[in-house]
Amino acid sequence: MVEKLKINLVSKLLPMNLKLTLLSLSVLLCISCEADYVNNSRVFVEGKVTSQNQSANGIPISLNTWLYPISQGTTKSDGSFSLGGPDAADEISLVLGKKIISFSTDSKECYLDIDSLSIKLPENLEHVKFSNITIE
Amino acid sequence: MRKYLLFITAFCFGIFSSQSAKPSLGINVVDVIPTGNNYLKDGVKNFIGVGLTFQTIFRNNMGFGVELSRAFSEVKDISIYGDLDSPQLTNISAYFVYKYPLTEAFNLEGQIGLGLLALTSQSRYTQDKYTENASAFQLGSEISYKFPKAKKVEIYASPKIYFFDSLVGFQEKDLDRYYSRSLLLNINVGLRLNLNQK
Repeated sequence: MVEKLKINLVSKLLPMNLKLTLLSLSVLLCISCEADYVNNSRVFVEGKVTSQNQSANGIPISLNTWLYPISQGTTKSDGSFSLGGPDAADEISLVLGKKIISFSTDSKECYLDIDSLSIKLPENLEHVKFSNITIE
Repeated sequence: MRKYLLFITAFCFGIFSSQSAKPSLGINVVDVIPTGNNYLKDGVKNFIGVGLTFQTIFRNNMGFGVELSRAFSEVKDISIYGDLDSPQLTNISAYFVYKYPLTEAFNLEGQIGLGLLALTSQSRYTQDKYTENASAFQLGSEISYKFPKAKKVEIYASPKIYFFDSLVGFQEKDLDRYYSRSLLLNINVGLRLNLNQK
């Protein structure tokens, strides 16, 4: 008798739960899709690019969220660059579009992306300085 | 916002009704020129827009004014300002006035006040806007000319200096100064209606 009741209850609750989970999932998706700007907060990244077999002058470089760029520029004749832009509520990465061999920075939380084309920057970054980024 | 507007209109009516005060309503073109070594000077072009001023002179040539203005610009350098579009500067400020009559027609004016500014930028990639709020201490001067045949109408030119200081902060001092402070030269040219003038 108790088991029957349980089964009844479950079968009645399941569709509701499904709806709920679907709803909450869609809400979550909507929230996570947006990479909104954070007002009154800015980010600044600077450093120097050196290359093994080409000139480091005029290499396009940008700061990106996973959806869109927040700052874009090119390296100067000595390979140095500085990028400033609005802060975004999302992981920001420094995209070089060239294979990065190694880099050195004062911030510990930076790490190379799987494809080696960009460097993931720390979550709560404000200012990151790269003393050197070596590309192929 | 609505409360403030209500308050302002109520205040205006209060001043209209008093006999000795000289209220005036002005409309002007605004040109905001960022100067100095900062991200606004290097990152965006000059702002151009419109402004509304309400000003009233009480006794002894002293009075106060309220200014509302909005000016529009374009991004000059994406690597400094960020990959944003069409920044606009909204300004609400209040100031004290000292009006010195040079001749019958010409008046010289000094202003000192405080303003609240919002620098809002659009994005090419998302609907979301990016806003930087700032406060500004302002020092201004003005020269105005009253038409002898129509004393209700006055034309004026007013250069002002805004000491822009935004809420954006960096731990490094130089960077903080570069990205949150600016000196804005604000040039207003416009037409004023003296409301109590006979």
